[in-house]
Amino acid sequence: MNNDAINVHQLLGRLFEKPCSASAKKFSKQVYKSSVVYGRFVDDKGDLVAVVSADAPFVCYTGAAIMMLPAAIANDATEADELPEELTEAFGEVLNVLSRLFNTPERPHCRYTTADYGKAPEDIKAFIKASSSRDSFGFEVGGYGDGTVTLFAA
Amino acid sequence: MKILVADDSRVMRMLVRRGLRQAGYGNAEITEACDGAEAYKAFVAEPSFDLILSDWNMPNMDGYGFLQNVRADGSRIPFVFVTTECTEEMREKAKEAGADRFIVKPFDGDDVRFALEPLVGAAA
Repeated sequence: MNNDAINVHQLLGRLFEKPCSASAKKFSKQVYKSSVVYGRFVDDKGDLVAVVSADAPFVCYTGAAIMMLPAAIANDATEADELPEELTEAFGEVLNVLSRLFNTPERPHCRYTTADYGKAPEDIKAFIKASSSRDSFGFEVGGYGDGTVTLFAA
Repeated sequence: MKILVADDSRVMRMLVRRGLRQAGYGNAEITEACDGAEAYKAFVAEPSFDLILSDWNMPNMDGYGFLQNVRADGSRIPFVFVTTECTEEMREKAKEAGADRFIVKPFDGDDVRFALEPLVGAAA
């Protein structure tokens, strides 16, 4: 994978018209438990090869920033522990773009398919448990806020 | 300038609009389509488009099929793919079918300007 903080910053930073920063975080069960979304990434055969999980602030702030919505909407959603459809729809593009981090010479066509919101489905739990690579990042969108995203690869 | 934008993601169509604005093409008249079939229908109905920006992966008709139909009609309208995935294999296939450029997501105004200026000239 190409998943260091610099790559995450370069990739996601171009989605927003705001300054952004990314930093590596130690993966922990707490990070995993705070996740509210699980994006699925498959290879050419349709096999699940990667998962991206994120907490509510990451979903809300990146989603709002893409749509250029006021930060207050993302703050309200985070505080209310809600994920408005407008923000999750925009967050789909964040996941779509993150697929590039999972491409390797051996597996050049990794693509994002769908996301599960709420609790992780059983197959995602099993994938995460068996994953060989787990990288967490703090990501801040200037003028909005920061959240955490974790990349899991087979 | 009239631009046809084809992408199944409403958010991405908005980002393409933003990229065009950042690149100086904010005054362009933009028509949006949510898949290749709808885009081709719009293209046939309005042959005076100056440029097509299309995603590759779309339902009903993908961007490659859309490109093939446009070229089969004899049109040489500049056709630019806007995709997340962009392998050498895809580039070759698209080039052979008559695509002019690729813009890889995520992109900014400079990427858009760099791709479009040789095709349609600098923004007014």
